[in-house]
Amino acid sequence: MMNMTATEEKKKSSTESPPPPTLFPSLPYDISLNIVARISRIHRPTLPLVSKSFQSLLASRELQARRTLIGKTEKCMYLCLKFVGNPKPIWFILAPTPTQQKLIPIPSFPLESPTFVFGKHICLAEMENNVFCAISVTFGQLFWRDTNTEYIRWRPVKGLEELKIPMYAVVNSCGGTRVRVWWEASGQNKKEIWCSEISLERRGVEEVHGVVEWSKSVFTFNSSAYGGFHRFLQSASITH
Amino acid sequence: MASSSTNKFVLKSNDDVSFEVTEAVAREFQVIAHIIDDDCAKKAIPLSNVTGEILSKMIEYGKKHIEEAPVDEEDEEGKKKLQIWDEEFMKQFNMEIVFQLILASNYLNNKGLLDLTCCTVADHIKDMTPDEVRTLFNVKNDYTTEEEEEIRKENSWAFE
Repeated sequence: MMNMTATEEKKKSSTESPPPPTLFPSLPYDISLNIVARISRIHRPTLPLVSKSFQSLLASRELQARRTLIGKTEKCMYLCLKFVGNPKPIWFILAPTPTQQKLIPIPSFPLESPTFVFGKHICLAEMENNVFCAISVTFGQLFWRDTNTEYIRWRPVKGLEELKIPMYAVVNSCGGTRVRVWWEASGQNKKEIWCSEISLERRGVEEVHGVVEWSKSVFTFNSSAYGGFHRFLQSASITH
Repeated sequence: MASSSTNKFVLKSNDDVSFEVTEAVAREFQVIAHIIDDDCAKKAIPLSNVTGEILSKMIEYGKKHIEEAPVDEEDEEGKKKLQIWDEEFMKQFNMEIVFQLILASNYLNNKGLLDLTCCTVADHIKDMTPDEVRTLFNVKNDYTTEEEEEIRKENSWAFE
């Protein structure tokens, strides 16, 4: 009969050098990683405070690799806003679950190297297989153009009258014909950032029609907390 | 030929509780599958790191996953049913038992149960305050007051 305790210990000691930081002292490191990788990014902002090893784990590529491995990556929307009286722009994450869809400030942009394209004024929508339209926000409005034609002509996307202008940015967050736009609404003593998801439909050669699938106020700010909204900087959609 | 549903093995916990299980259930735990393959499983198989209480739960899980295994990859209904059972199964345990299940399923190498238990913990701690996480996992707060204040400031919205 094999002695499993000894085998197990031998296996452990050979795979554990150098010793990784202790996260949950009662659990092996690999299991701690397995647990933390399953926690959605939305729930993570308080976790760095648990301990320094937690903080470094949460920022590590190792955690990212594990999330990819176990299929726990999430499609996240990020948005960067600048406020009056605060020299540092503030990054926000849009909570991915529909019931909690709101902007949550985060300490910094979560990726070290921007190996993706920031959505700001332009993005691509795949109208059919391999047929793309470029979608752009210009003068606060949504425009489109066929990427297959030789001359460049931008036309307004029809059907979006219910959205207020100015829109700030457009991101293809879901792939295919759906894009998201960010826009601003001002009320009494407050401003709101809204997010709308728009599905696009090509109607003939000259028209792209947009249908607003949903619109949500994702962020309300009062000037006491943020010192007044100044401007929209950029947004990004990342699966990680 | 002895099929894996008629072949029986006895698993013995570290507090001397024995469980007779079919080969199929025993093979749900990879470490035990290796012991069977190495032909070391003539008598009872002693499991030095698992108590009877935990082992009985693991066997219950293993049995269910053998009996109700989805027919194939496309069997969405079967998968869903098992997933609902998994969720109900985990509800009966407090965190102390969940930790023991994690360690035992890691030790006996049952990936499904390890993932399930890790998920349960992740779900449990996602809404906790840092202090609650520290208490639950016996983690020492190694920040200085200044460092803690700095991080709190960066994440001030989360503590409102």
